[in-house]
This record gives sequence, structure tokens and C-alpha cells, in this order.
Amino acid sequence: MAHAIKQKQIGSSQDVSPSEIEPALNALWNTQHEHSAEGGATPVRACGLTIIAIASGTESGLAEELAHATELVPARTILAQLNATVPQGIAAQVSGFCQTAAGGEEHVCHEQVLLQASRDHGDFLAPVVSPLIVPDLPAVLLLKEPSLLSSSVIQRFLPLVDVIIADSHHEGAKKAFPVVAPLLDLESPALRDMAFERLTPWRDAVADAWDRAQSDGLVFSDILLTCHEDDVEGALLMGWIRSRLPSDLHPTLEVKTGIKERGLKELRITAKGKGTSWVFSVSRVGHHLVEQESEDGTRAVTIPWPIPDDLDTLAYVLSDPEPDRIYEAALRATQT
Amino acid sequence: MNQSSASNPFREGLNRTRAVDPCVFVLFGANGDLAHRKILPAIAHLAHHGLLPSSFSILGVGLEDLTDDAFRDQLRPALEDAENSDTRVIDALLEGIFFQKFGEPKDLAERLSSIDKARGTRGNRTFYLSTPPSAFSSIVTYLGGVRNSPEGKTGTHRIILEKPFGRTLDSARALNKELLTVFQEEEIYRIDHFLGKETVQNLQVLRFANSIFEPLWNRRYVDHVQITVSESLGVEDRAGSYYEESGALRDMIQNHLLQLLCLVAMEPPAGFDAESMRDERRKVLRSIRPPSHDEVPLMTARGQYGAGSIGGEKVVGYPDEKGVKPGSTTETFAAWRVKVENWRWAGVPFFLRTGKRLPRKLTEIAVRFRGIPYHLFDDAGSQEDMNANVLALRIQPDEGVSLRFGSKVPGFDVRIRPVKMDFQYGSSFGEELPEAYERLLLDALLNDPTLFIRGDVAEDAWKLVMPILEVWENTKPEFPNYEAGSLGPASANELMGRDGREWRRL
Repeated sequence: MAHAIKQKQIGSSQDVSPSEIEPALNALWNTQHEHSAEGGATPVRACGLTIIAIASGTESGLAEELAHATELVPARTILAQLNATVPQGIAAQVSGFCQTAAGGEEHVCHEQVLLQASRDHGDFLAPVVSPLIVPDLPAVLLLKEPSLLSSSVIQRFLPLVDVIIADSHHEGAKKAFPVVAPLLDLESPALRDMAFERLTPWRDAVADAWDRAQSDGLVFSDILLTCHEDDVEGALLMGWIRSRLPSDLHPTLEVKTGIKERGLKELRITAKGKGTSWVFSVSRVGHHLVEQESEDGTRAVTIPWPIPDDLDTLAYVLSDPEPDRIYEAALRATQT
Repeated sequence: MNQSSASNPFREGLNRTRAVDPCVFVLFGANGDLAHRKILPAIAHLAHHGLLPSSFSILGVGLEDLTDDAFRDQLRPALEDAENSDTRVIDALLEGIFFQKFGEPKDLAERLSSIDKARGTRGNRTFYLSTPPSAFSSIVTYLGGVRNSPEGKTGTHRIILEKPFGRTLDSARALNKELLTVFQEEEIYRIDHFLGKETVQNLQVLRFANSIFEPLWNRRYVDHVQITVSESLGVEDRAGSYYEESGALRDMIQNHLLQLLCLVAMEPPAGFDAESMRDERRKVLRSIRPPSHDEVPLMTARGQYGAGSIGGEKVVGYPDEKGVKPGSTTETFAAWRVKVENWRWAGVPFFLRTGKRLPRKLTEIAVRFRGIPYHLFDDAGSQEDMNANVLALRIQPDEGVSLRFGSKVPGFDVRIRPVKMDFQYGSSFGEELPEAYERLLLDALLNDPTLFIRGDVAEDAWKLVMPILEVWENTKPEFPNYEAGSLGPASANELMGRDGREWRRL
């Protein structure tokens, strides 16, 4: 579960011109080493990847998310805000954040670069960001608004990064899928979606249900998902189930909509065989998945599974920024 | 039978690529220190991560008269010890916890059967012996009675034991023989918790997932290897109950250090399956020639700490620790120059060192490479500095890997000094490293024996140390012979000095 941010900012943010970003970052560390020579904590300049996060406006929430994520996955983060009100076209700010290393005493420090581009300078961002990407480590493009992928500004970033991490949840399936699905045809960059990552507890539940059905000699006969009409997670979960089912198994798949809030409400799996049937149901209750299994209606087991929050999920994806073929197959299945 | 991702199409891509089958975890010694400090918190962590099935149950077995509720109250603090503990997960776990007083085997068998019916655990059992080794034999016999009962013949069974596996080669053989009368070898999991440590497993990744190290990993390029497990703590309360009868050689070298040596020296396995890995580790042990009795004084060193100071505080010597017999010859420090006689390592000494009341806690594997064949930069640095390449794997604390190499000092002349390239888990991965017991318990529950000691390996390790024990038991040492807080006995330095080498600083 996410916890209060433990990072502390080093000094104050420095306003610099785009050409002065790297020297400013180096000066930040020289200052820190001087501080440690005077008896302060020794900083370790840490970086496992470069995160480029792009927002169409001022997104203070995004900065906080990155702060949480980089506690677990030290990175150089470049936060780019489009359509900003800045007189000089592109404004830059450099800052550093420190925290105590997990299990150790020294300070792990990593960098954040804030770039603000005015409306007509968006296309100049990619050339500013390109030299800031740390060599030999993964580079990730984080997009909370996947629809930005259709813009020329974002298209310029695609050759620079290894992985795009989108979050289709807020825009909905109808708006997001037409934009992200074509990326599946590109060899690079790979595509990940936070909406799919959020499905992990539900996928675990389906996998567990399969194991239990198999051990009782039953097979899935009906799968009913209750969710919002335009729900991305619902579409991806059904896509995933369809893409994973053995070719000789054709359970009835149904999505029940009419739910006002976005998000998955309930997954209900019926398994049948040998003259018996069995219902496995998982519902979201607050921050937990609650499972209720009834075997022939005679026994119910309820156990709460905590659902990882978005901050932990983001950190998890960033710690493993690789293509996810399972997600790609699920997304393709939503298109058929 | 547990389900693999191959048979469950939905498991691929999930962290839980395999599922733990419902089972009853039968814990002997449930109220002991190890259970409360390591095993129960590990189970709680696994539950928090959703890695245990909802029907996972724990049955504590002990000599006390306890109700299930009283036992749950006793275990709750240990389960809640996990950081970010979720009350709902703990409550769900506690619903599946029960207690049985140690009595007749049929009583335990019937209790287990009733838990199967109530919880759906399908006859699967994991017996964990968290007890003193002196109790192993009687418990194994008892479990034979349980397994032979009508209720004991279904499901998957496994038994997990802590080291030490015996006290001598003969006792290890006897214990293995006894275990095999009740269990199959593939049902027996002998824990060496060092093998569960993240950085120990990283050694495999370092060697076999990177192309640059393996070409150098042999007698042509390696000068020697030092494996050190040092502790600043003394024996604390363990002298009377265990350590007096054990000593550093049995407690640490016979198991932990030899296993670390195996991981360093092993050949790349044919596959990442348990048997391939364990076969390669065994081959290393079989390549080690046990020292002859005449060689023991030249190839080993032992010590016992006297009074001194640690961290600025005075500490007593081992003879004055609680439970230590007058005139004790138990060693608290042991060192051994090991010869691995195979094509890869012939002529490369492996130095093992372990001790209590040394200046700091450190577990480290250091691979020292051979010096350069020709000193191109004459007078550019000391010979020591120029022969500077050391790859050090820090197991604890400050887990990570460092490479020491020579670099030019900035300036107009050519001066060379050693510098370090450093990888630390804490700076590259912000997450806490999983506890060894969590990984080991999960692997046992998933029927993966890769990180556990096979019976023949345990016996092979005893074969190697028996000559040392025999010589030491027949030779009275002058103890104590090193001050607490120092680097160990002078004889350890002499051991290295005979080879023209030095111990790494602690």
C-alpha cells in the first residue's frame, strides 16, 4: 500500500534555460557532495531508468505520483507540461530528491526536470528531452491521457523511448483504444497500460477459479462481468479472458453494464461438470476484492484481497518496463 | 497437485505463476523463537501478498495444553509484526489456525482430517520442524505413525527441517536414513536460509545472465576467493542450549559457507530446474578433497573470543558467557583454506572465514583476480594498487556488488589508484528485499526444492569437515585467543600468510 512520501527535496528548484539543464544537474550533485564533506549524509546518485511524463496542462497530481513511484524505482524523471503559460517558449526547472535507501543509511538521490512548453513550442520538447535520457538504461514515456498519442508533439517522443505506459482508464475505451491499439503494430516502443495492470487481482481470481474448477473436474461454462458501459478495465478483462481461453472451450461471456461509476463491480464464474455446478464470484468492496465461493450452495468462503493502489501499481510497472505480450493479446482481443 | 502456468492458461504473466495448493502447515515448536521471529512473519507476508490460498491452515503442535483461541492469541503478535499489516488479512489467517497437543499419532491424523473437511485442505500437509535438532528423530518417528494412519494416506506431504542436519557424518546419515523411512527424498526440504537471500540468488544471475564474467571465472584469471560471514554479536543466550555443542565450524562452515562456495564454484547448470542446480552444487563438494589429519593445522585456524569491546561497549569473553562450560574448547571463529580440485579451479584457494565478536556484521564473497602479467606503468602505483581487481558480492548488509579496478589519478603524471564501481540494491531498486524465509517457505509450498539441501549434499558437506573436527577434538587449543572486536586469531592471518595473501578488511 502507498505510504507517505519519504523523499526530501534537495535545496530549492533552479530555473534554468533548456541548454543549462545538464550542467545544473551536475551542480546539484557537486553541492550535495560538498554538504556531505561537511558532515552531512553521503548521497548516492541513483537511476534505474528515465521517466518522461507528459501532461496537457499543469498536473500537480502527476508530480506526486512520480514522487511515490521513484521512491521505489529511483529514476531521472522529466515532467513535461504542454500548453503552459511561459513567456520564453520552454522553461526548465531542475531539482533533486533524497531518501534513505531501503535497509541502509545512506541517501539515495534522484533528479527531476520540469519542462513547461507553451502551446506553439510543444514540438521543441523532444529535442530538449533527448539528450537528457540516461544512456544504457530503459526510457519510459508515461501518458495519463493516451489520446495525446495522436498529436505530433508526442509522436516525436516515440523514437526516443523503449516503453510507453498509458493509462486508458480516465478517457474510457471508446476514446483510448482507437489511439493505443495501432501501437501494437509497431516493433518499438512497447506499450503497457495501467488499466491492464490494475486487473492483476481480478486475473489472479480467475486463475484461482480455474485451478479450483479443474481440481473438481469442472470447466468454465458462464462468465459474467458487471461494469460501466465504457469501462476500459472491463473491456480488457474480457479481452484477456477471451485471449487465454483454450480453443476448445467456449463459455458464455457476458458483460452487464448500467453501472454509473467507472470500474469493475463483479466477476461471476460458473463452472459445471459431472452433473454438478459451482459458482465463484468476486466483487470489489472498497479497497479489497471479496471472494465468495459456493460449492453446490452449501459453503461460502469470504476472504479480502487488498487491491494495490495506483501508486504501487505504477511503481511495479516502472520496475519492469518490458513489453507485455499478455496485455497486447488482451488489447487485440478487444478489437475483434 | 499444484497447477503450473502450463496447465492453467490464466496464470501466464501473473506473479503467481504457480499457486500454492491448499494445505495444513503443521508447525512443531510453534511457540519457539524461530517460529515467532521468522516463520510466522514470513507466512503473514506471503498472505499479505496474496500468495497463500484462502484455505491455508496452520496447526501448531506442542506439549502445552492450549485451546485454539489461546494459541491464536499467542501467534497474533508475530503475525502482526509485518510492516503495513492489514488486520483483515491477519484475521482471515487466524481463522485457519489451530492447536494440537503432542500425543498419539492417530490423534494428530484425526485432527488433520477434521481440518481437511472444515477448510478444504485436501490431505495436503507441510510439516515444519522448528525444534531443537535433538527432537528431530522422535518427531520423524511420530510422523511415520501419522502418515501410516488411514487419514494420512492422501494428499501431498512435505517436511521442512532447519539446520544442523546432524552433528557428525554418522548422525547426518542416521537422520537422513530415518527421514527416508517416512518420507521420499523429494518430500524433504532441508533449509539453509542463506540460499534464500536475494543477493545469494543474484550470484546466479550475475554469473549466468551476463556474458562478461564467465570467461574470467576460472583458475586462469582468479587468484583466490574469500568467503566471510562475520558477526559482531556473541553467542547471547545460545551457548547453553546449542552453541557449546556446535561451534563455528558446525554452525556456519559445514552448511552456509560451503553452500556459498558451491554457488561460486559451480558449473553452469543444464537448466534452471532444481535437480540440475543441485547436481552442480554437489559436484563442487565432490571436487573438494577433505584435508588429511596432518594438513588440518596448516589449512585451518580456530579461535575463541575473549573480553574486549564492540561498538565502544565492553563485552565479556566467551568463557564468561551464560551456559559455557569451564575450560570450553568450543571455537567461535573458524577459517579454512579449501582446495577445489577440478579443471576450473585447480590451484585457486577458497578461503572461508567465520566468527563471532568480530568488528562488524558482514557476509561477503570476494573474488580476487590475478595480477597483470607485466607492469606497463612502472612506478605509477604500488604493486598492490596495480593488482587491484576484486569483484565483491555483499550478501549483508548493504546488499550489492562492487568491482574494484585501477584508475588513473587526474593529473599530469600517471598515477594509478583503485576505485570502485558499485551496485547497491538500495539505490537501484527501492523496494525492500524479500526475507529469505518468505522465499524459502513459498518455494517449499510450491514443491520447488532448488534452494534446499539434498540429502547427499548434506552428507558430502559433513565428509569434508569431519577430519577437521576429529583433529580439533583431539587437540587442546589455547583459548580464548582473540579479543572481542579484533579481526580474529593470529593463526587466521598465518593461514593466509603462508599463501602470501591477506584477509580483506572487515
